[in-house]
Amino acid sequence: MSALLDVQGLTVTLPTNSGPMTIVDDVDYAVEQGRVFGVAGESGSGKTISVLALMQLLPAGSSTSGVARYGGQDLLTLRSRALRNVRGAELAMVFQDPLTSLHPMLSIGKQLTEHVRSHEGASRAVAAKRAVELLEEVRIPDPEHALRGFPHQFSGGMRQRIAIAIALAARPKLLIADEPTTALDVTVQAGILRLLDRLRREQGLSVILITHDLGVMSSIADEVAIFYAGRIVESGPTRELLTSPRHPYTRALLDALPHPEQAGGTELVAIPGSPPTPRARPAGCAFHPRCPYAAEQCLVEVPPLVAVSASRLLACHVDPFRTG
Amino acid sequence: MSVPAVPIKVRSWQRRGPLASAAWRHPLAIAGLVIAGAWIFIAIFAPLLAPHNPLAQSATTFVPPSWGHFFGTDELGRDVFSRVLYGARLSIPLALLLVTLALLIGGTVGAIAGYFGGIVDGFVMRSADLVFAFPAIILAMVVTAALGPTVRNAVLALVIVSWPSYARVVRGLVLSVGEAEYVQSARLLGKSARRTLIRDILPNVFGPVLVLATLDLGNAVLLLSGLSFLGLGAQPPQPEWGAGVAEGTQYFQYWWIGTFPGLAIFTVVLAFNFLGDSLRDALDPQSSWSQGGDAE
Amino acid sequence: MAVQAFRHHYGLDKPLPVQYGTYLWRLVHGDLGESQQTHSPVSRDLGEFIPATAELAILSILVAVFVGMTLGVIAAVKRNKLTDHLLRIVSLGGVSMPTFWIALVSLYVFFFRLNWLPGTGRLDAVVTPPPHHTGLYTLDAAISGQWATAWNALQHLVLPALVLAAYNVGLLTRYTRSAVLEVISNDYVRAARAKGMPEPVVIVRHVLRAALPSVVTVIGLAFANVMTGAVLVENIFSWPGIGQYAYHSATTLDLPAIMGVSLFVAVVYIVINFLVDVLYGVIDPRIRIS
Repeated sequence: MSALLDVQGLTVTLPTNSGPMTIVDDVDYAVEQGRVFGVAGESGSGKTISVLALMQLLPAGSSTSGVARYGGQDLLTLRSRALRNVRGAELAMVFQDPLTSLHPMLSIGKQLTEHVRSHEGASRAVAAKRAVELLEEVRIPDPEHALRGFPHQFSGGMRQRIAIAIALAARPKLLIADEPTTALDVTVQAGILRLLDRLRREQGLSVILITHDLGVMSSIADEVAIFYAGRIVESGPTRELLTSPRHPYTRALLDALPHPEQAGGTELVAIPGSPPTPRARPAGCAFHPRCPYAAEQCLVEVPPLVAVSASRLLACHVDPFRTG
Repeated sequence: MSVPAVPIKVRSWQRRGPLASAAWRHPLAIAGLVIAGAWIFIAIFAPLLAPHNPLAQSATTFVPPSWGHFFGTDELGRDVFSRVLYGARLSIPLALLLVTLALLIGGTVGAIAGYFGGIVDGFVMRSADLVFAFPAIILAMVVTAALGPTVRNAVLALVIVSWPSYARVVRGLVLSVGEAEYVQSARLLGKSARRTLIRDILPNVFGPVLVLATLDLGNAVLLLSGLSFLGLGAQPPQPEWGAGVAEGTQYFQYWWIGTFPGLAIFTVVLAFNFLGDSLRDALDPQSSWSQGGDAE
Repeated sequence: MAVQAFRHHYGLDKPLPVQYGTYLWRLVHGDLGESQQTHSPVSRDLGEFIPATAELAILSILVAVFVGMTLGVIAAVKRNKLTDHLLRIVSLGGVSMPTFWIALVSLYVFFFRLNWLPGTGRLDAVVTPPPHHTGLYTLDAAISGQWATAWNALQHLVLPALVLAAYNVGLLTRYTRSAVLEVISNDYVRAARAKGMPEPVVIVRHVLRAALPSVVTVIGLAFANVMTGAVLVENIFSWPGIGQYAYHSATTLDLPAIMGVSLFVAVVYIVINFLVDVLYGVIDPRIRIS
């Protein structure tokens, strides 16, 4: 089955006061139809920028190279009409903070229907009907009344549900969710994740889920890609990757998670050092200064992302945890 | 603690502003400086530059612009070019005087109000509100009419009208700076009130007030010439620009009489506004044009 | 003596609190005293002169808001490009031009030389004013179906209104630009683009709407500028409005008239501020009183 979205060699450079800065460096991944593809990594690792590039939502002056194949087109080279047709109707995005990603002065109804009418030429009545259905889908109580409401009148969790409804209104095939639960309470998080999972199962929606929270990842992602310093260091099926990680960074991340079974008094294991800023990325493997397994080769040569099994990709010269 | 009205960046008084490096990158500032400089030069050297005596009447009335008279002559045969040059000797020093007085009076009053608070503050702000309640030009007209229409009274009237703006800005700045921790600690350490005021607060107040004053210079020229235009400022035969435009409205068909004095006002005010706008860029990026709102 | 009579007539020989009290009492009853120059009640004078200025002010503000906001949006969208820099100069130019000078020059060019527009006054000398409904000649003539009169009134209105608008265009361009730039990098704007909305719709419906509250704040300032400018403009265009009335009252020290004008100005400020507050609520639902 060919992938819904196939990204190859994606590199993104942002303009800064001190010159162009490479944020995303030669990234490859593929998202299958009806699957949740997780993207994990710390802030500054390039995960958000890599998906913004897909919809060409980068700040002015940015440059991208590589290919992002979707439905026979390269998303990175689309212009005007073709780009507008893809945005919202093929790919859609849910941002991290629903308080800032919903327009404070437009009614919920307006925000739910304007792109539906724009993309499909739907009448006001048809669009409104779909809006009500969507709100029911995301379990917003009293949808007709909610249409006339404004974002500030809803709680954080409800706002994010509304944002998801807006994203789905023009019936996209691929939903990109950038840290959708980070700004919400833990109790509310679970509800949002369940919603995304249900949409995947019932509607065949494909999802790219960005998060730094491995716990969230393990609950709904089918596959995961681990970002570090602008590159993907490891990817594969979630369960397999999280139970037997091959990359030292992934292993260190998992080791750093506090376990409820640990006896009180055990120290939390932290990764020594801190992730490099995009300006100060080390030569060779970007993780080598913090890696206990680093070899000579790691200091000079960037490890390529290669398949180490039928479903696992790894970028590590040393591969200290290989089985067999 | 009360919320300061004006948000500012508080800098210790040793650090210089970023003026020097920014200046040459701003063509607008250069243009403003050059034009303003040219007019100041003209104001100083008008007697040497003017081909004729600005008050000298002659029989050659209503002569259009020509080689003998660059800007033509008016209804009394006076050379308009010379009158425009000499006009600079009125408008520019008067505007400078006006702004300086308003700044000193308003600034001092505002600083005192902000620093001491309480009844003093209340009294000052009520007086300022009272002035604000009247539209500037009406108040100015009344004062000049009451005191007699002369240039001196026009300046006085405008000082009365302008000081509250400075008072309000300085008061706001003093309040915000006063909230700053290092000033509070200085006070706790027992430095006398006046030393605190001068040493710590004044340098931080200097920047925004300078911007306000430079922009206000342009306004001052406009108001002064406006009053003279209405006959409430400079009186004939003084070659004041506003009065010149008034003359021009009387002798409508001889367009040069009114156009050139007005053009002079325009260029001077434009120069001050260019300068003030560029200063605003350098000292207060948040409200400047080059950054505009939040810097990216 | 004449001075005694003067003082007695105006009650200036009574103690101050009594004078103030009398004034307030009369004020509440709509009596603003009598003007020294026109020898008619100040309230009647105001009633006569206010509509002329109102007509001027309304058209002027409308033009200034429309043109200024458009230029401001363009400058913001084309930020730091040549267009932006040119618009900055235009904006600074607008606030630097002496109103009375631009009035003179435009009258000379458009009336005297090109004859595209009529000269001074609200109507041509031969045209009779329309029946009185609002005092705004253009509206009144239109209401009465006197289209020729309405057209004539409009022609007379254009030049002074545009001259009066110049300063505010400069002001609004600057403030709109700032306001737009503050909101244009907000997440909800990016979200609107992510939905595939066409850029013009994003700019108008999402960006401009969010920037409006900041711009509306300036509207009050714009009205103040119009009133100040009116004094000069009405002078040159022989426009029989409050500006002229204020000028004559001030120069003749006609106390009741001056008080009347000041009162009128204060009322206008209050009304405008109130309307601005209401407008905030309309634009930004977060501010509405539920």
